Formats: sequence, C-alpha cells, structure tokens
Amino acid sequence: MDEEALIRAAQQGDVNAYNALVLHYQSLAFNVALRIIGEADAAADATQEGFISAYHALDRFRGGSFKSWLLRIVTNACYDEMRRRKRRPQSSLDAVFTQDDSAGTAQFATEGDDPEEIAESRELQQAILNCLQELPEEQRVIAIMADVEGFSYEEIADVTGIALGTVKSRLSRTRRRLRDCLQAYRELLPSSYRLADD
Amino acid sequence: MRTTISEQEFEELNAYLDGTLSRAEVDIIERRLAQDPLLQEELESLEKTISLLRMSERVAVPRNFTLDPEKYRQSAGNSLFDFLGRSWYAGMATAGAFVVAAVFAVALFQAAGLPDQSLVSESVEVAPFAAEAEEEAQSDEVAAAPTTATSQRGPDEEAGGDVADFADDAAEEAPADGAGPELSEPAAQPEGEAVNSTQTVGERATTPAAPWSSLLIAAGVAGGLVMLIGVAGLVFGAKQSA
Repeated sequence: MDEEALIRAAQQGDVNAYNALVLHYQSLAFNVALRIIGEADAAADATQEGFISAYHALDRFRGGSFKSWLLRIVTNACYDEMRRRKRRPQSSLDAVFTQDDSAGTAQFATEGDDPEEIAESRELQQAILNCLQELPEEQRVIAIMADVEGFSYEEIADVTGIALGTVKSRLSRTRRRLRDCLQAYRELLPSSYRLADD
Repeated sequence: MRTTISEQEFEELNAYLDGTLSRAEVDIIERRLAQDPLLQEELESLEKTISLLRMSERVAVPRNFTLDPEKYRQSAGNSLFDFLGRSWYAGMATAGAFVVAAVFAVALFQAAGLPDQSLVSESVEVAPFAAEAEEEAQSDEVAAAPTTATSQRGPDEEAGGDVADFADDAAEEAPADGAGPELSEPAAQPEGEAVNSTQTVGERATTPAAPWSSLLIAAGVAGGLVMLIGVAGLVFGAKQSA
C-alpha cells in the first residue's frame, strides 16, 4: 500500500482511496477505541465518527505520521462518545468479552478451537480491560498505546499531544497501577505471568 | 530493609525495560539491581505486567468503517473552497477584518480632526472659497485707494460701506501726517492673506489629501474582499463538513 499516494488521492476527493486507508487502519482504530471506552457498540460508533472526522480534516494533514494523526482524531472521538454515553445509561463492561455472540460482544480476530482455552483467554482479556477501565482517561490512553499496541514514546507523544517526558512519567505511574490491579485477577493469569507468589 | 521503591526508581526501571536509557545509565541500574533484591523484584513484576498487557488480543471489527462514496464525494477536497485549508480562510478573514478596521479607524481619526489631517480637510473645505477671497481682496484694494484719498479729505466726506468704514477706523488710529501709505495697509492686508491662503490651500488640497484618500479606499476595498473570501471559505467549508 502506497500510503502517501492514497492520502494525496483522498485529499483530492477520492473516497475510494480514503476507504483503502480506512480498511488498513480500522482494526487498530477500533481496538484502541474499544479499550478506551470499554464497550463494543460505543467503540464502533467512535471509530466511525473518527474516520468521518478525519476525512473532513484531510486538508489539514500536512505530512508526518498518518497513523498518529488518525489515532489522535479517533481518540478525541472516543472522548466525545464517552461524554455522550455518560448522559445515557450504558451496558456493563462484562458484555465485551463474554462467550455468547450477542450484539455488543466483541469477537477476537484469532481464536482457537478449544472452548476451555477460549473461555480462559476471554476472562484474561476481560481482566485486562477492567483494569484499563479503572485508570483515569489520560493514563488509559497511554497504557493502551504503549503496552497494548506497542507504540513508541514518540508516537504516544504525537497522538496525545503531551510532552515526551510526561509520557514517560505517566506511563510509569500507569504501569504501577495496572500491576496492582492485575494482582486482584491473579487466579485468571497464566502461572508464568502471576505477579506475586501464591 | 525497605519494602517499597520510590517513584523515581520505578520510572528508571520502566525506562530500562523500554530501552530508553543510555549505556552509562544501563550500567548504573544493572549494578543497583544486582545489589538490591527489592529493586530486582519490582523489575520482574513490571516485566510481567507489560507482558500481560501485550497479551491483549486484537478484536475483530464488527463492521467495515469505510465511507459511502456517493455520500462523501461532494465533500471531498476538490471544490473551490477546499483549495485552501480552513486555517488559510480563517487567516484571510482575520487579516481582512483587521485591514477594514484599520481603515475605518483612520477615517474616524480624520473625521475627528487629527492635527495633520485636519489641515488637509480644512484646506479642502477652504479651497472653493479661495477664489472668492481673492476677489474680495481685490475689491478691497480697489476700495482702499479712494478711501485713502477720502480720508485725506476728511471723515465727513467718506462714502458709506464696510470698506469705507474700515478705512475710516484705520484713519482714526493713524497719525495725522503720514496717514496715506499706512492707511492703505489695513485694506491691503486681506489681499495678502487671501493670496497666501489661496496658495497654501491649493498646495495642500491637491498634494497630500487625494493620494491618502485613494489609498484608504483601495485598502478598505481590498481588506473587505479578502475578509469576504475568508468568511465565505469558512462558511462553505463548515457546510461541507456538516
């Protein structure tokens, strides 16, 4: 995929070129949104809103990392969506990673055949998601970018618009909180990942 | 024996694991890790936490988030008003408004009578009367000559009229013997003033006033146009976004 050519074409009004970019980044954008918001339907709405906003703002993209630029817009769309949802009743976080395939339940991109394995994996994912949701918003975004999606400090600073030094110190505090939170779920964790001796 | 590590030490452990420390800093922290079991323990728990978080699996997207080409084609970046970015239009609107405001302010100051400009406007107002003043001065001159003679003859022989009265007053103030040339002075004075003011008026009215007014009008029109283009760009851009 020639990203630069697609961006240029999209800036000229080629919706199909933009859609090629959407298809490339939608999994990343949706997963970031899902972990920021903690609810599949709301994450999908925020992702869609983010892609629409990014399309309208394409003329303001002046080069650099398109991924960071796009994720900044999607992240802002997530904050907007969370504010909207706060004014309305929302479904429980438990609905995100359950085994039934009802609407609003997230499905993993790759999943094994062993039902027991699937169940354990989903519980672990739910535990991680719950701990992420307990973080303040600004720490949550950094944890998702750094440790879930593997962004560099520079990329995180680019997406969040905060200074590199702040990213480092905030990530350190965030990981400490996450470690303490995940301790509570240690019976769900694989033995090699248990944080304290049982 | 201590049971917790400081925030600073935890931050250093993070930087160590993320590989953002210099070689020298790595050496220092590794020496401390070798001597401090608590620091070692904290490092291990931090490593496990990061590993757990990295076990987060990607969730399949519930649907494609592509845009409908039919719906979004019109709002693509190829229209006239997308030619420049929104920030450009905002800048144009601001700059245009600033120019218009500046022109308006200058015009107001002019109307209120700034020292320099007041001269110009006064001159412009006086200019049409310059010829009239000159004419008056000439008639004064004409009137003054006989008046002098008259006054030499005596006040009782004077004819009526303003000029004659004025000459009469002057004659009263003047010494009796050398009255002739001096008596003509008051009558001649307006002529001199009128000529001088006519020259000044002519120069001031034609030289500085006209170019400044033209420049102000041109700047105002240009500023207004730029502001209108900027505002139009913003309005159309907002409509397209909506």
